[in-house]
Amino acid sequence: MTAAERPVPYSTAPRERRTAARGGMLLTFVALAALPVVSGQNGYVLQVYTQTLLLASLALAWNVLGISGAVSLGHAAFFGTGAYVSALLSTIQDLSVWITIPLAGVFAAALGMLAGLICMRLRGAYFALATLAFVEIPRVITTNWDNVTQGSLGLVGLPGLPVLHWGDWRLDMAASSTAAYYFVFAYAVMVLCIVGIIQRSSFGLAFQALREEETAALSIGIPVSALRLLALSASAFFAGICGACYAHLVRYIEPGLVYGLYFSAIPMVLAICGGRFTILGPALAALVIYPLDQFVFHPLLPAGHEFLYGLALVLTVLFFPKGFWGYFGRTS
Amino acid sequence: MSLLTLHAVSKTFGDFTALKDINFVLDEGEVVGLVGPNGAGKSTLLNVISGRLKPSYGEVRFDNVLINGLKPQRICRLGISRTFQSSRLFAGMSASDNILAARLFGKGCRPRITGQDRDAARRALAFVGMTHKADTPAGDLTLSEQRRLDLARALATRPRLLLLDEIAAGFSPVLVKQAVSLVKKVRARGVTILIIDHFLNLSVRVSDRLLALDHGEKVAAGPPAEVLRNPDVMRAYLGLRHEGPGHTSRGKHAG
Ligand SMILES: Nc1ncnc2c1ncn2[C@@H]1O[C@H](COP(=O)(O)OP(=O)(O)OP(=O)(O)O)[C@@H](O)[C@H]1O
Ligand SMILES: [Mg+2]
Repeated sequence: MTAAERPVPYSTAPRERRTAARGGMLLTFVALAALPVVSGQNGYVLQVYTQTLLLASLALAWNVLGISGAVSLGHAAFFGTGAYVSALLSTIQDLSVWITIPLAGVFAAALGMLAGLICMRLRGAYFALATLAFVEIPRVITTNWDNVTQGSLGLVGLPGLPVLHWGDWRLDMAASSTAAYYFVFAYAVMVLCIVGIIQRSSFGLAFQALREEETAALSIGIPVSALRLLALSASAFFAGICGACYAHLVRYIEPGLVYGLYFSAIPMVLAICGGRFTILGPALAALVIYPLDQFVFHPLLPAGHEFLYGLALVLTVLFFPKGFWGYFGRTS
Repeated sequence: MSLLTLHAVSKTFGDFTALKDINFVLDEGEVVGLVGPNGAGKSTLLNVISGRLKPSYGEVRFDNVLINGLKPQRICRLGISRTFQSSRLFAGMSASDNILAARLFGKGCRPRITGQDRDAARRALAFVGMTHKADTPAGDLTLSEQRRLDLARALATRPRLLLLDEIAAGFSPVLVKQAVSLVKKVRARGVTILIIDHFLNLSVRVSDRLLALDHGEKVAAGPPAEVLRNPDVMRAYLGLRHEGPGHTSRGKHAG
C-alpha cells in the first residue's frame, strides 16, 4: 500500500479563532473580578456566581482525571466525603475551617486512591459504571453512622467560611457574600493554574499519550497505572475541597444531597461541554450554563430546569465533539 | 558480548503453541533479522522480549538480568524499545510530541520539558528525514512517515536494543532503500537491532545473521545466505508440508 501524500490538516484551530479565544479569556477574568462591584453587591447575583465558580472548580477537578481519558460518574463520592469530613471535624473536633478544608481534600484523595485500586483495571464505560457504583460506599457509611453524622437527617448550623486576618484588618467571609465570592474565585483560579501546569508539563503529554494509545505509552516507558491512580486521587483531592467549601457556604448538608447524582453528573456535563481535553473548557462551561440555568431556565421552568444540562450535552456531542473550548484551540 | 539471551522460550495461547523452545543469543552491536512466514510467531517473540506478553516457559535475559515477567515500561527503562507492526502512534499528537513523550519517559519521568528536549526532538525528526512534519498530527502522516516516526519515537527512549516489527512491509523498492540506509544509520550509533521481516526485503541487506521461525519453532539461524539456502526455510516459505527425514514435528496452525 502506498499512501498518497495528503494535505496537512492541523488539528489546532485557525489563528484568528485562537486570538479571539485569548481575548475572550481575558475579558471573562476581568468581568468576574469586577462582578461584586458591577452587581452593586447584589446578594442573589453574588450567590449564584459563587455557586457557579464552585461548580467550575468541581468541573476542573473532575477534569484532572478527565485528561487521562477516564470518565467518572462518581465524583459525588469525593465531593460528599469532603463536605462531611470538613463539617464533622469543624463541629465535633472544633478545628479551624482553615485546617478542615485541606484535610477534607486529603480524606477525599485517600478515597480516590481506594477507588483507583478497585476500578483501575477497567476502561471506558466499565470504569464509568464502576465509579457510579462506588459512590454508594461513602454514602451508605455516612447514612448509617447515625451517632456521628446524624444519618439521613444531615448536619445543620455548620460554621461558615473562615475569617481572614491581616494585622488589624479582618474579613469575615461568613458574613460577607462578596468575600465568600472572592474566596471561591481564588480557589477556582488556583485549580485552573494547577491543571494548566499539569497539562503543559511532561505529564500532560503522558496523559494524552496513554489515552490515545495505551500499549505504545507503556512501550516508551510511561507508567500508565501509576499515572492513572495519581490523576484519580489528585482529582478527588480537589473535588473534596469543593465539597468542603460547599458545606461551609451553605452550612447545611445531607447525604442525599452531597452524594447525589447532581454532583456526579454536573462536573461531567460541564467538562464534556467545555472540552474534556482542554484546560479552561470545563470552567467556561460552568460560567455559561449555570447562570443560564439559574437566571433563565429556573424562572421559566421551575420543575424541569435541569433539562438544560441534558440539552447542552446533546448539542455539544452533535456540534462540538471536542467541546466548546476545543473548537477554539487544542489545549489552552 | 551477549546482550540478549533467549533460553527455552515458549508461549502458548490456550492449547495453541505460538513459540516452542526458542534458544538464541543476540550479541551487542549485531543486527539480526527475524524471518518466517505469516503466523510463524515473530511478533509473539517480540512481544515476549518487550514485556507485552509473558513467556509461558523459559528465560529472557537482557544484559544478564532476567527480564521475563517485567512490565513493558520497566523493560523500556532497562534499554529495550520497539516499533509496532500496525501503527500505534499517538495519532492526535504532533510528530514532535510523539518523540518528546518518549524522550521524557523512556528513562524515568522528567516533569519539566526543556528547550534541550525540544531540540533533541527536532534532531530526532531530522534523523528520519521528517523535519518539515514536526507539527503534523501523527494520524495525518503517510504510511512511510508513520513507520519512520515510530522508529524515531522508539529511538528517543535511548535503547541499547531496538526491536523493529515489519518496518518496510508493503514498501516500494525506493522506500525499502531508504529504510535500509536508515537502519544502517541506527546501527552506526551502536544500537543492537532485531528486525522482523516477513518479506525478506530489508533484513537480507542489513543483517549479520538471520533467525528463521516456522510454526513457533526455530528452523535455522546463521548468516543470511546460509539461512536462505536452508531447505526447511525454503519449505516454510513455499508452504510445502511433506514430512522429510529429519523434519521437525510441527504444531497445528491456528486459523
Ligand atoms: N493473543 C493471542 N491469542 C491467541 N493467539 C495468538 C495471539 N497472538 C498471536 N496468536 C497466534 O500466534 C501465531 C503467531 O502470531 P504472530 O503474530 O507472532 O505471527 P507473525 O510471525 O508475527 O506473523 P505476521 O507475519 O502475520 O505478522 C498466530 O497463529 C496467531 O494467530
Ligand atoms: Mg507479526
